[in-house]
Amino acid sequence: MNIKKEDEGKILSLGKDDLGNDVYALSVKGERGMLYRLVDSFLGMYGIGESELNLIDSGIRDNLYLLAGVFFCRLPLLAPLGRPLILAGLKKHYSRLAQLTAEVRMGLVNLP
Amino acid sequence: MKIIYHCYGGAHSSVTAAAIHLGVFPENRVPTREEFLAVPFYDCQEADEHGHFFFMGQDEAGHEVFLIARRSRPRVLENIFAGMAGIFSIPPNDYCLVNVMGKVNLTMKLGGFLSRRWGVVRVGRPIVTLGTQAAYFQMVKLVQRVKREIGGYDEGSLLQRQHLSTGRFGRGDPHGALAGGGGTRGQFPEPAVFEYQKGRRGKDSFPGKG
Repeated sequence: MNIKKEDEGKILSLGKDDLGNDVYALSVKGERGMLYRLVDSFLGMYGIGESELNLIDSGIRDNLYLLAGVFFCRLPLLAPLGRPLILAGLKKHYSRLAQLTAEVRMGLVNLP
Repeated sequence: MKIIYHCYGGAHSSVTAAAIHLGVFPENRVPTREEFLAVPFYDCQEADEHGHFFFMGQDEAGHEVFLIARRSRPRVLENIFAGMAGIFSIPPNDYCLVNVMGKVNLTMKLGGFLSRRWGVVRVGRPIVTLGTQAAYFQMVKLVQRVKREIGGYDEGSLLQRQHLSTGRFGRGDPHGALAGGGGTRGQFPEPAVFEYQKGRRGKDSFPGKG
């Protein structure tokens, strides 16, 4: 996915899960606390119930592979080298991500 | 409609613009230092409150006026707001984000940095107030432009010849859900009335005190 600098903070729709929930992705460099306050405050401002939106922090920090991959992807000539590095970096985190999504899904199923 | 003024720390320029919008500050003269300090939220937002929408009041056209600190990420605020509005089917003409940072001068930046970041309020506050006074008419112009673009204001109200209700202020009730706020800071005992004069406010209403 090609996200430009001006797209920072854009909410990307990824589709629906098998439970019918809409799934989105959002990236903000740092500023996690501000993001939570912004979203909570937005919901409060428009009187939207907190259960309508579940904000989940993937908790993934960039590892060396990801950092190198992102750097190479910025340079057109080295982009083919960057992509495998990004994949390797994601693979390193994959089990943690899979566990996180399983927990989130369990939590959604167990909601009253 | 929700009109949201945003700046770096949500403590000076956005507060001033929102106060001008609500008629708390006059448009034909620069408010005094005391008048600035009597306004709720002026030079009092902390870093752990950044990203929170604070309700300032309702203007004469019925629009709700908010302010928010978004640090140096205006694009993030705009994108998240637009994204959330899209998710919850809020039409784009239901809100208006106004960036006030363009009107901030170096004096304001220096004073704001000293007061908010370093906590040297005694030194920073007079400097930032001086800077706000210097940039005041630019902010007035910005607010007038916002009002012109939004519409719904008659000329009399635009030029602030009439008495304007300041609406409700309240840190404890940033979304205006509860009448009167609930917070101890920034409450007005009665609606302020302006005829190019300073409103009657006690020293206790200054948010930074106590």
